[in-house]
Amino acid sequence: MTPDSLKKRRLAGVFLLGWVFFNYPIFSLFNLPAAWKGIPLLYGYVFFIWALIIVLIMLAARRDPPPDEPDR
Amino acid sequence: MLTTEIILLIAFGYVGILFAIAHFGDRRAAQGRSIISNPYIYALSLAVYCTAWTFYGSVGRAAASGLGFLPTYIGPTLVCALGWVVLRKIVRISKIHRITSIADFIASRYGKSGALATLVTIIAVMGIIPYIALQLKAISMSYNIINQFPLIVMPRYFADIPVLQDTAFYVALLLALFAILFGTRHLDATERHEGLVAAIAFESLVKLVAFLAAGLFVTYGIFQGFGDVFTKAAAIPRLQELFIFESRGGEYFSWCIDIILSMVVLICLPRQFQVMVVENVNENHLQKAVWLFPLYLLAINLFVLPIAFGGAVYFTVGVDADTFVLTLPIARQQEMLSLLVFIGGMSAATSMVIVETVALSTMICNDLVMPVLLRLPFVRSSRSQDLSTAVLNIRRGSIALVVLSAYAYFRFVGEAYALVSIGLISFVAVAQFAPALLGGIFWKQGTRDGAISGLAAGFAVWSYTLVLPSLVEAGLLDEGLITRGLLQIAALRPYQLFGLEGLDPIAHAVFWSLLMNGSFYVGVSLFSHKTALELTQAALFVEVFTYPAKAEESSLWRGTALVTDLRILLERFLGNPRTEEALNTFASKRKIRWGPLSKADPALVTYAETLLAGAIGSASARVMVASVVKEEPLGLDEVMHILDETRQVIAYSRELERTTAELKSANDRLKQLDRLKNEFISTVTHELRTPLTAVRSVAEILHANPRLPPDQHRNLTDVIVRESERLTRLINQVLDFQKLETGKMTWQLLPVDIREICREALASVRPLMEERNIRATLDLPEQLPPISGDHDRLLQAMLNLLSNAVKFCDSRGGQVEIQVSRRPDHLQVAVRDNGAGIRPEDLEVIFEEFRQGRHDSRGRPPGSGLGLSITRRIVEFHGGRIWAESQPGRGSTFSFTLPFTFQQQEE
Repeated sequence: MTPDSLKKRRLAGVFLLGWVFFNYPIFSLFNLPAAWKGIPLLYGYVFFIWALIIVLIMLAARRDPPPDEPDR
Repeated sequence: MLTTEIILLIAFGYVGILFAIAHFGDRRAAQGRSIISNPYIYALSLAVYCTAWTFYGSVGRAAASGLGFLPTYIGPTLVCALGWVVLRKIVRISKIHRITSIADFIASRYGKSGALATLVTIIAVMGIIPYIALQLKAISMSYNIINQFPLIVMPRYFADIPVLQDTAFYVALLLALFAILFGTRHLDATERHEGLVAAIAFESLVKLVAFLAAGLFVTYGIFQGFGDVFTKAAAIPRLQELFIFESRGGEYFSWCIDIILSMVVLICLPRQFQVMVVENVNENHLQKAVWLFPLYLLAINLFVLPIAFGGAVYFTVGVDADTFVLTLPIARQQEMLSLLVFIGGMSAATSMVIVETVALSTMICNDLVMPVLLRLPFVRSSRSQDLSTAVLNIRRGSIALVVLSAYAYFRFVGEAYALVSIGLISFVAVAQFAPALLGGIFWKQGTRDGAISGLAAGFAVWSYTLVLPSLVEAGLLDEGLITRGLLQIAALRPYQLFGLEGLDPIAHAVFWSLLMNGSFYVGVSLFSHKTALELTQAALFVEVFTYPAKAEESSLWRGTALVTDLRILLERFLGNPRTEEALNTFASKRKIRWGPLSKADPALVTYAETLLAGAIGSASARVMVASVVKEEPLGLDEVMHILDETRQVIAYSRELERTTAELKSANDRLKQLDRLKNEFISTVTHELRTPLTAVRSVAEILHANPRLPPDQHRNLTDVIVRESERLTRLINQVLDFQKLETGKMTWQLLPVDIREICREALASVRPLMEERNIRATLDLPEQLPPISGDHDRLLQAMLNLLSNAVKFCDSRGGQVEIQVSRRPDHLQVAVRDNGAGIRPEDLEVIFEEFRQGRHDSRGRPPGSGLGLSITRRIVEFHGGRIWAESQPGRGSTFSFTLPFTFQQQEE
């Protein structure tokens, strides 16, 4: 596997993760009238996942994986 | 005190700063010291995505629907995860084909179709003008609010203000001027505007700082943190309802649709295409931008909810939620903050207007005006007329036209709607490009007819489900159209098309329009024929990473043209100096000199077409180049052939690399063999010289002393005989090896008793062993069936092993043991000595020809280095196996096996 295709797969994984976490039904698990330190649970959840996805994109896209794997 | 004069001074001063930054950026670009060539500026310029709609409208939407504003920003975040795959591909394709707008991209992909480019442009203009109007409305609204400082008065009807007294009108004019100055400075084949991008990046920074400042003030200045805002809001039932989604499925579905919508829109918006693709300096900037841009979105949205709920708690009645960002600081008498927020909102609006008008003007000029212009007889016929100024003027005119239409729209139509609705309607319009665009880069079967029908269907559904109702709401059409449907048919109600209920109007429109669009695109594509050019472009787009990085290297013109004709054509659009420069670059790279009557090769024709495409769009460029090139129509077979050719060049070079690597390793092996052979020769000659020297010196003694005593004479002749025997043995060995190697050895296979051979071999070396005081033991089984083999060769093998053992035996108290044991289907012979042993790393190599084990103390051992190699070949010929075991310092054991039943190997 080329380093570039490994990177593509990682990023596709991040995309799928984000898609799942931002949509029904996972979303509905946090759709509760509860609050954490006054902040509604759903709002906190959305922003937390959002930040997480950004960090994951950063890690996955940061640089090319080390070239110790053979190219083909 | 904030007087009108101060506000106006600040507002126009801010626009002045933009001019200065853009001017600086352009000057630095001209000096070749770009200020925008880094991922951070690139990411900031992408943030042109956040318009006044984000700045003011998000809060309004959050106050009405809670999280409903967020999909617009979550979608782009998810697209960024795919950015390395999708965005990079679009950027790469656009750079190769010098594509300068999304209309050009789609048209170029589907065979440089002028019709498609025109259709995309029309949809874009119709979809985007209200969106620009929205920005002007935001500027006007925010100005009117801050102008009332410290009072809070909601502006009611803009129609009351005369146009010439409306600040938004002058801002619009200034923005048009800005776009004209920095967006159409010259006609360039790359169409990049560094100064403009620098100004946009600066604006992104300003709006972020302003919004964060307002957010911090509301959250921590008016309230005591996030928790406090939400706790106070929770006390109001109307607001508390917004904390969670309704349990009905519809809201989840709308949420999901909104995410999809904003995902495709990030790629399809003309302004995003402009900053992301056209203005991209280096495709590697994407690597950082794909997380920096979402981070920006997260930051600018962090305080939307607190401001929305804070405002709703603070103002109980009479203040539009769209204005909370501005009205909350005003309510607290914060002069500076109010001014900062006003400027922030203006920066959000102006950046969008600037980039969007530049992008639209390129499309209008290249895809609406040029096709008509180039068909006019006098433009076509007069060959020397300079058109570059005309093209620039058309663009300038388009910019003015777009801005003024937007202003007119805002004045006369845009009153009825909140910010968000207009923005979303625009989103749905440009989302119609997605099937043709994404299908175009991932699906080779997509055709021009498919793209046209898909776009037309999507556009029709969009008009029917969103534009028509907006006309009703503006009071231009009868309301019965919405409630009872067209021609009183309930299935044709615009908000419940075909009876689909439970979705909000946007989700409803997105669903139907993209479904129709996609179905027509795929369906018609599968049933329509492609022209040769479509086929070519499809391959060049979808497989962009497998073709050469320069368009002219996959040249698809087969025709004849004069270089002079092409030069004249280029000069008409690019001007003399640019044409000269471009052609010289091409000529010097390929080491060509053109005479006055030189014919242009296909590569040059493609190069010229690509250059022109950068200036006037691919469809027009195609038409213009075709007018000077006598084209021989390309057959489908020929296209496939050319495509294959270019791809094969790449495949071939890869093949070449692989073969080179193989050759290199073969060469290394040969070199090693050569070295070994040289060693062998020097060893053998050394071994030959020793006995020869001995024979010669003895012979000289005999010659010089004819009267030696008989016993001495005898001793000396003995030496001659022994040394000659040694010589003979050595030469025989070399000959044997030669025979074995070339397969010329003759074998005599007879029943052989291996015990006999052991005894014989021991007998021959016994004198030598006695001489060295070596004790020999023979361990043979009583019963042993004979095996089939060559007696002499096996004896030779045994002798080799024994003499080896003797050679390396301990000089004092040496011991050699021969052991033959019987196994079920073979017998095993072991020759053991108690000498110095063999180093583990040598255990394998000693059986190779010309190799000898090294002795730490004694250096190279005596012998040719062929004995063990010959032995191995003999054993292997008999179907057996030979190996050595050793512990250094404790002696070594050489064992070989011989099977009882043995099929002679084919040699």
